[in-house]
Amino acid sequence: MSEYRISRSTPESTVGLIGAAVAVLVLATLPWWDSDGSLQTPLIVVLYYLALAQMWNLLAGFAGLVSVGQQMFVGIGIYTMLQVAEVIGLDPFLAVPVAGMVAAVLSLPVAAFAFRLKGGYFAIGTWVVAEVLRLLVTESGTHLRGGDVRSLTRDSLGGYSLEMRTNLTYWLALALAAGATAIVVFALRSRLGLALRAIRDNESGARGLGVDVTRTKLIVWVVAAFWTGCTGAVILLNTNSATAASAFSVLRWTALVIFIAVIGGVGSTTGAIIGVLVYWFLDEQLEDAENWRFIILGAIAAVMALVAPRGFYGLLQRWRPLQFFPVRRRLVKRDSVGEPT
Amino acid sequence: MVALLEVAGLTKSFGVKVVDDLSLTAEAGDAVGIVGPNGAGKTTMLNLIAGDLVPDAGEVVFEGVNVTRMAAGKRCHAGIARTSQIPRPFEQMSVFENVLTGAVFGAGTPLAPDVALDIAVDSLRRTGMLGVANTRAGALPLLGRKRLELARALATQPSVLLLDEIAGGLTEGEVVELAETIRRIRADGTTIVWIEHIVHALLAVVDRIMAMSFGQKIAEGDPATVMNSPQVQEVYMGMAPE
Repeated sequence: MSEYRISRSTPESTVGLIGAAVAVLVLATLPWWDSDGSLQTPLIVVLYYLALAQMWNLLAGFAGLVSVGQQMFVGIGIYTMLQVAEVIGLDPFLAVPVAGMVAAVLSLPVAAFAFRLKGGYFAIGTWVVAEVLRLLVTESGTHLRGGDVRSLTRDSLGGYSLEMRTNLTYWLALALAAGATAIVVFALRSRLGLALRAIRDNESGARGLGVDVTRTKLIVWVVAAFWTGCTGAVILLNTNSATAASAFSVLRWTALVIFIAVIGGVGSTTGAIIGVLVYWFLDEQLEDAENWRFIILGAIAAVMALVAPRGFYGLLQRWRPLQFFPVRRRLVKRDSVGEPT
Repeated sequence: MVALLEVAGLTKSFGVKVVDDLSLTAEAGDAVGIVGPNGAGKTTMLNLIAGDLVPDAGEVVFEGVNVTRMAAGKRCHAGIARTSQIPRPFEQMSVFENVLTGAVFGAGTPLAPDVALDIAVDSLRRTGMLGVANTRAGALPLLGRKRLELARALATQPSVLLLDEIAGGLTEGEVVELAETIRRIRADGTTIVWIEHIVHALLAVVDRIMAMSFGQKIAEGDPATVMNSPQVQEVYMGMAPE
């Protein structure tokens, strides 16, 4: 037995764990205490945005995969849902993981193309692929009818009351948000996370130490595609209808997600949570601002990028280096809490 | 019996020939020093051996296997580790996490967490870094960064360790200390191939020196003989042979 061990806990990690558990519990019981649904309706959106932001953060903040094409996986999720529920007739709530699986499978050929591109070219490349998919779905004629508004009909949703549907959608959104956060935290604490953090700091150095960089990135890419695809399906359950333009919207499913991740703090799970809360607040304030909404959000993002490039989480870190979901490993002597000497 | 590392006819051109028909052999347990003026192609040669570059001609044979076109990560798994002239640690990670990365991924096969931990601790101890294990790597001074390069490479459990001017930029006292660390690593059985301008540091460790100029080998052999040879005196000190 070694005389050293690895410790990950920090004084505030207990707070993080208990806080997360309480938050999930309170949110899960919301349908019973928020009887008029005034919180539930906006929270569904906030929760699926958190799921999208955590996944984008995992890709861009850790694996160096700055994707501007995540809307392709949302769109794939939405159209898979429409096909599986409306054409095959599977229960839409059971179809959510199917949407994720289709997105994961289709992410492989996209990776085969996009992984050849570096940095900014990767960003543009993923965007181009997403746009091509949007156009293909739009022009698919009677197959996917992407040019028309398509909805989940009474046939496929027949067994559910409106209240039950809303509650199930809400719980799914909660599961996606909490699951996304947990996936990122646990991935970062694992061997994969060690590789990811090394890649983030110095990719060629990581390669030289035997880290399989491509394989590590591919795992993250496929996991993010799966989770983003599932999120797309839940987005459809919430909005109920979609067109190719709305399903593959770069503005909604990538630009806003990047906004959330960036103002919260790229490369941090806590940052994504802060980011989505800030976005929620701003969105409520700007409800009647129409086009000004995006101008103001854009201006805020630009100012944040200059003043606090590491987002609100970075500002918090400057004040106190708190780690609520610690991923760092500290080397400590067994049977002691002190530093090794 | 095959040599541990056998480099034959290695050639690499970037417009001009930077490494030109170069050969070098290292038996297990050897410590070879490489000297030569700036631009002699030393680092390029190291990059070709470590797999960061692919040669135009020639081959690199390691433990009897031709690794000339093998990726750097695979060569690391096979047992070739290197340090860089300009240390580039994983800055946001701690010293310990840097070294643990080498231990976990350098072996090529998944190690049990306890085994990787022991290897990392051992590498930290051998390089004198145990006391700063939980320091952020980006906060280290130059000597610490150089030692971390060494610790990280050592954690991959290499049979051959390629060092690129690891003593450069250090104070006299630090150079002596670092050379002693490298001498001990060699004594523990790791083969050393070391590029260095600070000759007395090399002399404390190596038992053979190869001198390079314009990509070619100009002398090789016993350190004193090589350093005093007219060819080396000419290119190194700018002295014409008498």
